Amino acid sequence: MSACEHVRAELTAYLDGELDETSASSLRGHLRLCAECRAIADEHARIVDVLAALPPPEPPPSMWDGVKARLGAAEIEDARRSRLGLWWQRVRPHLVPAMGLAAAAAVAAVWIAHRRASGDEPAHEVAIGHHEVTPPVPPSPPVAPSAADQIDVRDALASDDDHADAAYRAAAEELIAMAADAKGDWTPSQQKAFDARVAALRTAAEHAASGEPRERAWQALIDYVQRAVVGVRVAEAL
Amino acid sequence: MIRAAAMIASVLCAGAAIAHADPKPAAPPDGVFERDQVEVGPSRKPIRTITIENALGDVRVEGHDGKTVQIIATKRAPDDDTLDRLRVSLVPDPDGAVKIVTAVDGGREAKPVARSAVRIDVVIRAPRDAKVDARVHDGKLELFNMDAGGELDALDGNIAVENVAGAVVAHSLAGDQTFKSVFGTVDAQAITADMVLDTVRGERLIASVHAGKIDGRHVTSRHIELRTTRGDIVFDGTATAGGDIVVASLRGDVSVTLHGGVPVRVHASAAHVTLPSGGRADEHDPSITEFGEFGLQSHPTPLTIQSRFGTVSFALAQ
Repeated sequence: MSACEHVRAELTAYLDGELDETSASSLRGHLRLCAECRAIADEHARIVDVLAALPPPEPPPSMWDGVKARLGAAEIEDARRSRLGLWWQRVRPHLVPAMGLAAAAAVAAVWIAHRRASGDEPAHEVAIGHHEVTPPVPPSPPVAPSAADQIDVRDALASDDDHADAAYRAAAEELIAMAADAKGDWTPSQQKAFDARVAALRTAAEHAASGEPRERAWQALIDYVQRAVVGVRVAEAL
Repeated sequence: MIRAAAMIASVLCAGAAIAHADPKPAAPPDGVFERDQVEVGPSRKPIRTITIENALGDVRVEGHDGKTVQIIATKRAPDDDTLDRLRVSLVPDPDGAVKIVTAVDGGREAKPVARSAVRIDVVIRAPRDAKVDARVHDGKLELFNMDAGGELDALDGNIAVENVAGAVVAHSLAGDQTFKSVFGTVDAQAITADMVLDTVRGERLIASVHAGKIDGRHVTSRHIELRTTRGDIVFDGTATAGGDIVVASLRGDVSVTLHGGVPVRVHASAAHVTLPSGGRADEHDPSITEFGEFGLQSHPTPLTIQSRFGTVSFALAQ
């Protein structure tokens, strides 16, 4: 391929700004020397300018419907995905550069540790304001993060209420099941009063606001049922 | 309001100076930490109530003889950016209440950080006569040297109360509870945890555990009720005239030792019952036995000991 053929093959990419600086410089140098190629380049540039000045084409309605349908499908898929999955989707694009940086840091740490061990450089700590940064540590074998470590702290804290709710509910249900055995020693009126009270307390727990109010409601139910189950002042408890 | 703000600003400056005098916290295994100290003085009224919610670490409240509240917060994070997102908010009220809340800032686009990587521990030195209302998640919750009791809540964190007077209410889901030298009403409930009561005196003591044991020593409250569903109970205390004691479990073993020589009327029921000799059995109810000399006290203190599926034992200490 001659120099002119090569330049003409690269013209479109040059005009679109897609050539690297070295190739672009070489091409510009050829255009300064070759009038024929310069004329072709001027013609290309005019066509590009005319195309850029045209109004953007209006997409047909059917095309927009297709885009909306694909977006909707993607959102439904996101909604079905777990929070962990969404988090993974969010961080995945950053992982490759982060892993590169981590590898570089590990190499640097090994190099620093080696130099310190060989006495080339005195050890020192970095302190910024109130913060204290510990010195680099030798790289350790990679440890797979636990599921808990992959959940953001704000999501973890938000799930504490659910965790507490489930634990209190389980304790209450266990006690209510135990009460079925104890009921044999109670009079029918005591049994009726117990069932009514448990139903009221359970309703209060299930309708209480999440967090401390619901915990309080479960605690009241557990306290009441436990008293009855262990036989403490059955008449009073009922 | 402006006055209150000026007061806070001045205590922030004073607190910053004090912060340097404090010993450094233990260095974290990696990452960075920051310790901040703030002192809040009373505005219109003395500080009577301290509320703290810390889901990110420990809370320790210590009483002191002054009128100010000193708050020392130690934050730990893997890096400076994350450390800056850890917040300790202080809301003093001119009417004598101080509220402290911790949080992690940042919108949903902020870099995710694991819960185990961040921490805020808070130490509060408060006037002894202030009431404390504190809540933690999995951190420790400690209340020391206070005179107005408090309400303490923990999910998985342990609760410790020592040298405290006044009414104490404590709830934990899976955190152990310890009460040592507590003088006042105690109402404590734990779901899956153990409870230790060491030297508790007051008008009323109610302690219940669903799955776990209760160990009570040197207990001298007037009305006592200890309960477990699954878990043993050991109680060593003193009966008081005019009081009553109930120690009951569904599946655990129950052991009660009484000191003091106050006459007691023991109602014991279990799969197996052990009583000391020398008691007087009730003519109408074989589960009731009376111990001690009545003398001037016409009514013995009632003591109920029972376990539906475990054993019970009762002893009188000389």
